[in-house]
Amino acid sequence: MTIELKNICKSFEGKEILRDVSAVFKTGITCVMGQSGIGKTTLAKIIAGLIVPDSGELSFSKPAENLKFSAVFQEDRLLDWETALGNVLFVNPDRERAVAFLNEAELGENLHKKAADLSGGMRRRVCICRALIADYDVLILDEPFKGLDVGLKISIMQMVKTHARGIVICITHDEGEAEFLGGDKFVF
Amino acid sequence: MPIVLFWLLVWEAVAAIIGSDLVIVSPRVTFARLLELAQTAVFWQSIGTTLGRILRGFLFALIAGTVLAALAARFKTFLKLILPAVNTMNAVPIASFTILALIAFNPSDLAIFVSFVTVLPIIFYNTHKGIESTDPQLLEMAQIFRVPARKVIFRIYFKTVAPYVAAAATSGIGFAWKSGIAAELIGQVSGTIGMNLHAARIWLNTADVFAWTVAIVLLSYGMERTFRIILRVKV
Repeated sequence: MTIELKNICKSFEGKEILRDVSAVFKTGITCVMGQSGIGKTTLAKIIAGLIVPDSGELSFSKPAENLKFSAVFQEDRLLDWETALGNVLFVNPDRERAVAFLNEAELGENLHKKAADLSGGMRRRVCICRALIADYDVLILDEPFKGLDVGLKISIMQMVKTHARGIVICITHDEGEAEFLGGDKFVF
Repeated sequence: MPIVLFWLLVWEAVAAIIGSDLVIVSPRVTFARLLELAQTAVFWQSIGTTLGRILRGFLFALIAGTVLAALAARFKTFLKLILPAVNTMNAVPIASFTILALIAFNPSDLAIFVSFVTVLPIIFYNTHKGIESTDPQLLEMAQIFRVPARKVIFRIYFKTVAPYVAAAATSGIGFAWKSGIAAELIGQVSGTIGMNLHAARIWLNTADVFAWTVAIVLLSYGMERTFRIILRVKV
């Protein structure tokens, strides 16, 4: 499966964010790299259909309406009133798998803790579990490992590497993360 | 409790200073009269009639206000269409509504109608504000994960909107009682609390006015507490 972008342009309030961006994303991990504010998130949102480009062409090898997305957003976007488990079950009702993912992310003791009461790192891990458990063809990870402790970060990156499937677009500006995840690189 | 006691003492002191039972009766006289009234069938019949009508008016307003607010949040054209009507409803005096309702409706429906039109704008404004304040990032997240609409409504919208509805409903209960009783009094609807207040005014029976007023305050407070308990269980 592939996603092809041809000469994508996007401006916000007269400010040009993307100019003639062309890229091909294939099944497997692709790390999208570049400085902050260069338009990586905008590109990811265009791929996910959340933003319409001003010009250019976006094509999928599968009909776009059948394409399923999953994401770790730059912001956590958790339901603060729900538990860690509740947040994961929100996107997939498979309780057994949800618990297994959360255990793997070392959140086993915090399954029933409200998201609002979790630390920043814990919230990030819940987001990753939520993204991995969803039914998807394309997984977009926008700075997924920010705020994670160094030791934990490696095990979580390994978790992503093991469980992620389909087209995985990982936005990062950390060379080390890109090296660890492997796969292709798209540099702005 | 000490605060209630403090205000009862203030009331007692003011009554003693004024020294006229025609202007203000003391708490002791008021509660003694209330106890007397509570031993009559008319008291409980009037309370039952008024409570039933105000409760119906309030519940209709709660349902209609919530549904209209949801439609207004979903369809901007509907908001443009409905807003002048709600604003007008909010601005029209209770007396005007009562007189219009007396011409158009059966007097027994008066309190239902007046409390409905008084409470509806409060519920509408607050619920609409609650829906509009729902975090767009959470809605975008639900869209990406293709979360079913039912789940989005119950687990995102309801959680965001519930505090707004609860706040509007609790203040709405107070307004429902005030407007409903005023309508009964203006319309002189027989067998109601409003009519009893009207009779007390005609006979310059200040003790009855105070006793009925205390009964109204207690009923309004009781209804508000019950509603809060229900919300705590359901939300």
